[in-house]
Amino acid sequence: MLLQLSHIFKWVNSGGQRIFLLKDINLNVAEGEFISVMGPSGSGKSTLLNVIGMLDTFDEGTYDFLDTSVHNLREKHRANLYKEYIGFVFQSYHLLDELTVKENLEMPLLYKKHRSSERKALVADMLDRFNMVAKKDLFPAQLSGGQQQLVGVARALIASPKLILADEPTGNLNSEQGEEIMEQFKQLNNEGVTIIQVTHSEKNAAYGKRIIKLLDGRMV
Amino acid sequence: MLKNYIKFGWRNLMKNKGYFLINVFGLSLALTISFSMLLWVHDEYSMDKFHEKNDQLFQVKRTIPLEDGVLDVYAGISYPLLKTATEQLPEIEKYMTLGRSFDDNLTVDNMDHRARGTFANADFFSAFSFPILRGDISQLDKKMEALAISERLAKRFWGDQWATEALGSVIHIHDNGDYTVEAVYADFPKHSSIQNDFYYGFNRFLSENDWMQEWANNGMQGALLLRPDADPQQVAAKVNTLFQSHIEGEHKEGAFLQKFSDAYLYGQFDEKAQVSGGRIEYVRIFTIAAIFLLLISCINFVNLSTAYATKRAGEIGVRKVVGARKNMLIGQFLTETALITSISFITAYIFTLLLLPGINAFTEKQMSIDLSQPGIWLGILGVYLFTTLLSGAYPALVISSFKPIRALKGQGQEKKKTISLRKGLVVLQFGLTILLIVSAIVVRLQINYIHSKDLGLSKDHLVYIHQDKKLTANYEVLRNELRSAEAIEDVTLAGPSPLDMVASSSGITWPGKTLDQGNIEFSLLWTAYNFPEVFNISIVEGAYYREGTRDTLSIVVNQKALDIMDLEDPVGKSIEVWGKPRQIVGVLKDFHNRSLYEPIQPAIFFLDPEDAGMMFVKLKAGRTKDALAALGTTFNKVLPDVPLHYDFVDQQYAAQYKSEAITGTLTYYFAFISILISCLGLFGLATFMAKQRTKEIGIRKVLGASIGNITTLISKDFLKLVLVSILIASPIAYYFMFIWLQDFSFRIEISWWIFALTGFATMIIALLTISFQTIKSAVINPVDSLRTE
Repeated sequence: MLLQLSHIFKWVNSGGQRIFLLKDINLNVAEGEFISVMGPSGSGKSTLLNVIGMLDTFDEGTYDFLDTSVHNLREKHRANLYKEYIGFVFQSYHLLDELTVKENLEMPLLYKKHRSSERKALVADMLDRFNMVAKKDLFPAQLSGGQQQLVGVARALIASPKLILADEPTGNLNSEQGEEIMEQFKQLNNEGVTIIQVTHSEKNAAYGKRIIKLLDGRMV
Repeated sequence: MLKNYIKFGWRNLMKNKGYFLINVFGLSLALTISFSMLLWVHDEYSMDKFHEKNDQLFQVKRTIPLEDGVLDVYAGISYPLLKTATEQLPEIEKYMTLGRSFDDNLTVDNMDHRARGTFANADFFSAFSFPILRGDISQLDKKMEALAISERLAKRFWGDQWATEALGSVIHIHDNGDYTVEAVYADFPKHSSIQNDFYYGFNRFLSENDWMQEWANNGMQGALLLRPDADPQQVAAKVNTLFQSHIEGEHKEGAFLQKFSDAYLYGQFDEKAQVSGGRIEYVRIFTIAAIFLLLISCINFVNLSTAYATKRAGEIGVRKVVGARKNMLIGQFLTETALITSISFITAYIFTLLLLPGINAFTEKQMSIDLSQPGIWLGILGVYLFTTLLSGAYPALVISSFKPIRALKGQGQEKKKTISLRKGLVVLQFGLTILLIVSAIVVRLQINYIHSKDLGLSKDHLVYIHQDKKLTANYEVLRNELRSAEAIEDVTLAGPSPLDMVASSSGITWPGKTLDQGNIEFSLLWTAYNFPEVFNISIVEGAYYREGTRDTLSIVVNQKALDIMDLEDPVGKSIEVWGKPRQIVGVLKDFHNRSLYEPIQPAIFFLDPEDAGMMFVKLKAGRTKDALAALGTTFNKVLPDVPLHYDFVDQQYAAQYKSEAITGTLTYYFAFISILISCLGLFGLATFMAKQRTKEIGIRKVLGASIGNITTLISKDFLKLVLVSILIASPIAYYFMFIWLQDFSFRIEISWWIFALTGFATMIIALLTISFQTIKSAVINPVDSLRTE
């Protein structure tokens, strides 16, 4: 089992009222799964993803990731955990504008203290794999949205995470570009990477092996 | 990693060029000033410290008890004290005589040079580190006509041949006779407060001035070289006891020792004869001002970088999500800061090099950036670390603690704390600026006051000429010839300078003098009969002397002296001067006979033109050029073999307050630069705020706000801060300036308009600075500003 959420609650207090963002979420994810999370706006999809990614906290329940009790960890250790095992892909790519494609890919490795030669090899692999060798010295603004998101996926992947969390990865892309990204995900999943994606599109959701539906913070 | 930090840091700076330039420009300016100050302070602190036996060198000073136990400190002491102390106290190795320097004309064959010099004993050169290059300095003690000259002066006379030709040559010192060069000494280092180009023997001076043998006289200054193991305090006590056992009187004067190298910076003493200040105050003021400037520009940095951090929230989020640890982000931001400070340091270094000649001319120093000195390196390194950490640490901490998800949404998480800190810093910044502006105005006003003060005598259109024997002998002829020139009004003799009557004596007795009054010093002036006329000094009672050469039976006093003597109908009353009775014939109106640091001194005036020492020539107003030409021709005609050297009295007077004048000008520069830097920061903040509030401004405009409304809205926040800083800084500035003015016996009042003017000007400048941005953002079409959201 990769991760296990049981009875997760998350709320905010607003004007004396408790508003639930997540209500009693129970979710087990095994290694190698490809899960699509669906639901209308405000149903808690992104919140759930952030909780799984340990970017956000929850108020009640337990969360075990690879046999580590996340709910007992302090923020610093939690951060170390996600930095080691989780890669993120964002709707708006979140590439750094002032870095080239190559440098954007290299950045996570810099923070993990890989050697220079090792970094170069890994970046070269990634560029090869995503057919971006020719574009390695371009800046994000010189790429199409689909290409930027490919860089985003490559960046998420470069530190060999066990889990990829993708928050509407195709939301800003046209259908052709979106399909390309989903094909990449499918291939990654076939190679054994666990993927959880949030999406609005039924078509993209269908790439997943399991679909979870959320409504008002509750799994339905 | 560091390479990457630098690379990304550089790209980031290039992306925000405005932010980058504001920081670099402000920091460079502040650093340039700091470097210059560092050099100046270093230079001031190295004064007189180059002597090898620095720790053993002490100057002997004298305390004079006044009424109510108040002590006055004088540098003048007597020769018997120096000599006897050295003979009797084993802790003292040698004594050195320090004479008052004078300018004179030195002639060899037909060559004539003007130089400054005085007397000294031979030990003077060995106790201080003043090496002898040629000859035998001990001759200075042995031969009456021996002379020691500096290498510089020797070169002026004999050029490259000085080494062979100087020794044994005869130099005629104008008014003093012929001397033989017995030794040539190395030029005194620039860090020596003593600067003389020739010395004759102290014994000669002694043989010509019998009164020097009196224990109580104060005609010279002196220093002692103590044994390395001597305790200066004990020696001082012994010197004091020795001194007091040889002088008479109820309230005895005392003697104490001050370390010779301290005398330059710590020249002022309080009523208990404890060091109370001196030049060190200027050193402190400027050090503080430089630190202020540095602080102000560091504040810019902190404010701008924390503000811009919100713009960079997205980047920080991404970096955190892909695995950046907090300390890595701190490292990255500190590297960016270090990049900015490094560039600023290089710029400031170049600026300083370019400015240095000007600064040297202005401060009359010869400073250079001597990179071979570890002190300079340490100083620069210290300032570098100070600036980088002060500017970089806080922003780095704030930025690196952003929470990743919110950061990814592009929201900087500005805590209330950060915002109020920023406001606090703006207040501090403007507070410091206001402090500097108020100081600049007050110092300038005080200097103007000194220059325009009615001294009670007229110092304008007056030149003075050293009165030597030849001049004295031909004075009447010279005077008549000069008076016949149309552009010259009159000529008189007086000395020492009436504006600074340095000679004084307590040997005046009058009917009813109390024991307490025994030590009151009367300033002395030797004059010709027309002295009050030429200087425009009015006579309150009686009359001044009648025309004549010397009068030993009469005396003229000033009002202050009369107050002390408390005599009714003074004219005709008899007082004693040095034991001989004299009749008061007149009372002069008080004029400022010392610097304005001191109150007007009681004074007596002699009719004794031959011993006066200075000839004063009064020129007709507006005819200076003609008058000087006439002076030159006449002087050369009457005294063909005396070279003419004259100086203007008012210029000499201004020179007395040179450090104040320099301080005043420097404070102006400081105030100007600090307001410039503060406004740079304000400009940056306003630019940023305007961008931040683009959406708000758009919405307000759609809802009907006018450009005026918007401008007011944004300006108001900033002006409030400036107003607060005015309110806080004004009383503090008042306090400091009040303290500074206490040094002057005659001083201006600090009036309210100084603060009003400063406050108003600061507000206007701040308003102009921000209005550029606020108006720019207020006129944007709301359709454009809202679309970007």
